[in-house]
Amino acid sequence: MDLYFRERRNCEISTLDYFTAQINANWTGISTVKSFNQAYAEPLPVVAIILAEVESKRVEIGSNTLGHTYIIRFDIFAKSDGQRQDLSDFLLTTIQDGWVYNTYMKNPSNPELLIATPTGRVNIVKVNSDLKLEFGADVDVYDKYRHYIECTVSVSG
Amino acid sequence: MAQVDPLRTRIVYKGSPLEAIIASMDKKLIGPQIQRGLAGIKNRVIADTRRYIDNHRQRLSAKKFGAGSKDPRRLSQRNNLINTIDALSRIGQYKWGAYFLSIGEIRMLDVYVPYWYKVNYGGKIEMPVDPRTGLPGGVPGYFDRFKSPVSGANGGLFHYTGRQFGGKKFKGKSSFMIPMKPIPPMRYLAFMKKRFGEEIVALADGMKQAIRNRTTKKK
Repeated sequence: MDLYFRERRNCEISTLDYFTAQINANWTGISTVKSFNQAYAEPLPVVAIILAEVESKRVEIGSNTLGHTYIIRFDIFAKSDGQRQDLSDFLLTTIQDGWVYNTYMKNPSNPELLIATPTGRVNIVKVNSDLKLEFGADVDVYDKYRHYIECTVSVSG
Repeated sequence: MAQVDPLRTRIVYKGSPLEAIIASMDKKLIGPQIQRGLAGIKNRVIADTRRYIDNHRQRLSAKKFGAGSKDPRRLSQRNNLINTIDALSRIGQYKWGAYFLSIGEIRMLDVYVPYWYKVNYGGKIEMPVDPRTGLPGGVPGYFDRFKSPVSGANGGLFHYTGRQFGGKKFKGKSSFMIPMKPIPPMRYLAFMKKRFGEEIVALADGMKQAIRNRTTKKK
């Protein structure tokens, strides 16, 4: 059984842990989930945080080492337009300085538990999208006040 | 206290000044080159997006039976979404000389492929409300060639027949679909944007190289 997680999994869990903690510390009643479909199973408001893509490039000419950047997507499902604006602004302010990158391993005596060790930082490379999603008037309640933020990040340390 | 030498920087300017490069551009030669470049970009971006959509689609699109469509062209087309984007993409030139490549056109996409936005960003299919009960009544339509959906079977095509309540009624055998899961976001627009960016950088590099070669030859 593999106890240690690899970088992309660590990056995803670090991101989810950080934003869950930040949202819980500053807001009440907001769920964070890690897949798009899960968002529709939770009561509103919900934020889905998804590590969607990995881009790998040579770090320099002549090197075999690949450097990775990750695309992280935040899908916000709000209860009102004002909440959508506040939540998106909060998330954007929260991501700008990056966050702690943890390496995770399963607890050997209890594999259900994860042990996190801070080993670096997740840095924002750029914010790719920050936009309100408008599906029209006659839509499902989850799609009424949606916002989408996408950013590219890299891991250092 | 130790004396620290100030940092000295010397900037050496090499190559032709920008004004000279611009002046050396032969617009009659550059224009067609840009147009050819943009046409190539359009073809490559559309071809790659077609592959991307095919790889991410949940099920094949309808070949015919498009009872809810607003345009007859839709009925004879498979891959309706990318075909429409392709048909609406064009290369043009502004009055002041700059060239542009527009891919898709929101106003027209809303008419020909009204689901383009939901397929890209994902979302739940809204269910029309039955005015008699005030409750969501399901999405009117039918499955493959009027067959009933098979429980647990994947890949069956659902054909939307338009609103039953208050709107025109579909004359065929119709039933109601209750969508259980949201449509997952395909993000094909982000893919197009990324591919487009890569191609534009490559085109700009090619143009710069061509101008540099021409300037060198003149000297």
